[in-house]
Amino acid sequence: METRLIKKDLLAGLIKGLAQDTLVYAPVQDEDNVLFKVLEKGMEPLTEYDNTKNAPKNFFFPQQETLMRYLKKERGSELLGVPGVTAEAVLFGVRPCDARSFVLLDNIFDDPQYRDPYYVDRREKTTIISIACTRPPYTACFCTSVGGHPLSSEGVDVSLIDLGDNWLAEFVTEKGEKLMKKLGDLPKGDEQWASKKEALAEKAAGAITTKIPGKDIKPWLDENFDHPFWDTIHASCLACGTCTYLCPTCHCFDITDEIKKSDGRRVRSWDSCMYWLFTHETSGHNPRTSQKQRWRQRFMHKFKYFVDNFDAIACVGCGRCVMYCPVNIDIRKIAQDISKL
Amino acid sequence: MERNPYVPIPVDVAKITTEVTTKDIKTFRFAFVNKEDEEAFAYLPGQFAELSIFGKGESPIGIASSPTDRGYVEFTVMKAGTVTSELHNMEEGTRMGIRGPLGNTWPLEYLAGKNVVLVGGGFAFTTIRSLINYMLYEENRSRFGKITVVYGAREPGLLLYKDELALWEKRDDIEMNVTVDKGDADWKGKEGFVPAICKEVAPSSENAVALICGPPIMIRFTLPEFFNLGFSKENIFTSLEMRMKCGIGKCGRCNVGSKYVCKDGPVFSLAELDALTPEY
Amino acid sequence: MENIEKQLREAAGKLLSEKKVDALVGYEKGTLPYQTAPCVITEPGEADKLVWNSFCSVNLAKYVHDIIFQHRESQKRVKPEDRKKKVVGIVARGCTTRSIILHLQEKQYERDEVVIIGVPCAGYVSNKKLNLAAKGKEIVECSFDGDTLAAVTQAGSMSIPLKEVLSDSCLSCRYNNPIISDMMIGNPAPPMNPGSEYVNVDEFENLSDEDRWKYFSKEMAKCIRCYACRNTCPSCYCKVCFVEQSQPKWVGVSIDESDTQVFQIMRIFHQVGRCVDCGSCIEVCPMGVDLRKFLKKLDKDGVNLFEHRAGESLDSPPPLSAHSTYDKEEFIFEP
Repeated sequence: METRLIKKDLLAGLIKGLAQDTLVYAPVQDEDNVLFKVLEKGMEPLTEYDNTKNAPKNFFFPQQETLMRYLKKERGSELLGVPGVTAEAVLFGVRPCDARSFVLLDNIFDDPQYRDPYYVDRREKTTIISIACTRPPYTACFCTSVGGHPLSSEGVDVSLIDLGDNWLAEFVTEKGEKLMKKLGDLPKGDEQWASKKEALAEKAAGAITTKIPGKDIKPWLDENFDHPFWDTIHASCLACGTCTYLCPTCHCFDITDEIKKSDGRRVRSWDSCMYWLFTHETSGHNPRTSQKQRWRQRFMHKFKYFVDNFDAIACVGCGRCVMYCPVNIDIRKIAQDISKL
Repeated sequence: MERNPYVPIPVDVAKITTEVTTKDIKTFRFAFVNKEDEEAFAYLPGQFAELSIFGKGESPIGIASSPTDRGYVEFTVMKAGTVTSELHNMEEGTRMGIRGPLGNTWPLEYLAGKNVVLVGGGFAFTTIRSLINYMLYEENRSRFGKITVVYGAREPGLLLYKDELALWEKRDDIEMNVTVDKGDADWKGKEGFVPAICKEVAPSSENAVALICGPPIMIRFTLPEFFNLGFSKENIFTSLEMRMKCGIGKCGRCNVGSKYVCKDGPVFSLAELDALTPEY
Repeated sequence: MENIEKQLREAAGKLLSEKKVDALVGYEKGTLPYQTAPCVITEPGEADKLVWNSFCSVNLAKYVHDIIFQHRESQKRVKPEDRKKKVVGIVARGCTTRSIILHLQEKQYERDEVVIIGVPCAGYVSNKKLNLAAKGKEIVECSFDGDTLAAVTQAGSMSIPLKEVLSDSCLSCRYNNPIISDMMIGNPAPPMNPGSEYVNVDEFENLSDEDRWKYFSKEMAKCIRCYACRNTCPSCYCKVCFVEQSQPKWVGVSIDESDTQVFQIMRIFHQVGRCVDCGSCIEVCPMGVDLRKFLKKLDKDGVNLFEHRAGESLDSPPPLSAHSTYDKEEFIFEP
């Protein structure tokens, strides 16, 4: 694997340089929030930040996107076309947990039986640069409990590791190496790097003190769909979509038609299993009528159903739902409480 | 190039048949606009498709025709929501879209060489009709054993496919038991609820499979009859309905446990359903 | 504060053990150092987990409404003569009691279906302001030390004056003591500074039309349509919100600029004379949308045009639910 050293104060400039002719998505300060946004002229990409409030899934699976356009006629309508192929892009500044979310989402959207052309197209054309968590940003982080690691390069093309004065750039994939050529001449990384990395990785993983039982609770979940435990966890839930919309792995969506005069669009928008309407049928029947059922669904989907189907937990341990739930329903506590049953 | 699974196939409404006296159930026959689309839309009984009307949305509906019917595809639709209401207002010749075929099929391989008992209640007879026509097709008939049908509706005017029911009655390679909860002056057939008629008909469970479709209350009372007759949960199949959007296992709303009704279903055996969560 | 907590737990335990209430809504310690969590308790033994401090933020009246309505729904399967009322207890500060008054005025439930444990309130900590004070760093430890907050972040420890991080709604609160209650805990809290209530609105009103619209558009662009604002709001209790209706469909589900604006503007206008300025919608918003400016503008209009403040008294119904021959009407003829 090729490695290069990038001086600390040069990184932001390199990224802005890339943004001159390439679509770059990067963490930026937006009033009080750090958000992933398209890096436009005059915007400063952040290299020192904890994590973004919004998950970068938005880049491959936007909160809303047009699937196709059509012309509404007096009788019937005519398909005008689907949005064209997207351009090459760079997604900069992804944390390893969020990068792992793409690998998990690939199971859904890059399923060989029904490939999702919109997601797959962007995914194929995008090079992902991560910033490893040598210092895990939050006490709410728990990536190591769900299959991740603060220095992991899973789902990453270029991994940046903080060495103090320099970033060490690891060019993990072919896509990454292609990008390396665009970055110009950079000094090669240290030969001794591998052993140093091991020490950094160990230190970073050790700094993640929150431990939750991940796959350990799966056997309990297999057997206890009707357990009274589920009767209380939702009591304070507002049934809002904050947890699902900020989650890097939640992928539920709605498809609706939007029309202005004769200009029609079929649009995909995020949806949430926390909403009562999500499963409400036209007949009035709803398989999940209570917030208890909806909470159980969200938890089961992440810790059982996804594991059944893809042998991985649909949670990367980023801590967003823990920190931003308006009423402090804490998924870590639920998993821990289950392990005590 | 790989087909975009979200883009509907263009079809023209070729024929509309009002099925019931209440006029809220109609059968729509669609003709493919492009010949190659018909080839691509290769389906088997039990599958469904998203009926797609630009400007209104999509609605998942079971395919009511049989793949042995060439040149068209049919769906029997009850007027309920935005899309189906729009559909009911359509005239023959209107262009719209269908997206599919989606989902699994009735267990055709498993049914081969076995006696087949088909139980339908009310409006939920559409994909069973597809299967009957498929099995009765000349080249297919010998692959299946005895075919027994129990089909019930509230009243005679609510029975679907009346012309076909009459044709099937005349055949000797299918046993028809059509019943209504309450007949009228002209009704000469059976009267009684589906579970009672099943008990009366008492199909043998020997080398037999039962496919049961109908409102939940009918299924609840019919199942015990089949258990009494010796049908195992592996040999009873049903077809589930859920709210769906994508139809291809991505949008996340039609799951029953770890299975998606759109992709892994809609057909499940009772044994399979028992292994899932009871949320449907 | 500790004394109030002790009395609160006693009172709540007593209500539950004497079966005066079937469930009680309060706050419990959260899993994060700067948050408490709303909780619903049904056993006297659970009363000991109740807390009362400046991290108790969201308005609990919404839970009372939800619990009673879910109960009524489940009672539909019970014979009419066997149906029972469910009585819900609630830990209520001033703004919470204003919401309960609004519910009672709007005939959502009867007075005997709710038992109010009134608590004095010195304001709650706004998470948004706290996050700013901590310069965006996660707070890993946090405790009260008189009028200051002692906070520890990864960047070090700091002392934050409580006043700097109290919610704007609290700083200018007019009713920080319960307006109605069945029992009161503690001594009345000293007044806040209601005189500053409309300072932000006054500034906003002085902007040009273009600048006001620009500000509104900028704030609404942050919205991710999670509905946390609507779902926590005690005044937003419609069984099916207009955004979820499909026949007709009033507004699209996407975050298209116009959809978000329509959702928010309609929700805000549904609050005319009904917003108690509890600040919950602002507090729960994950994106930090400034909803208060627009809600306060309507509140100010309600005061100026109808001399009315939402939920200030059981005898003063919301202006749009009542008619008086003295009602102003210029806004109809000369808007």
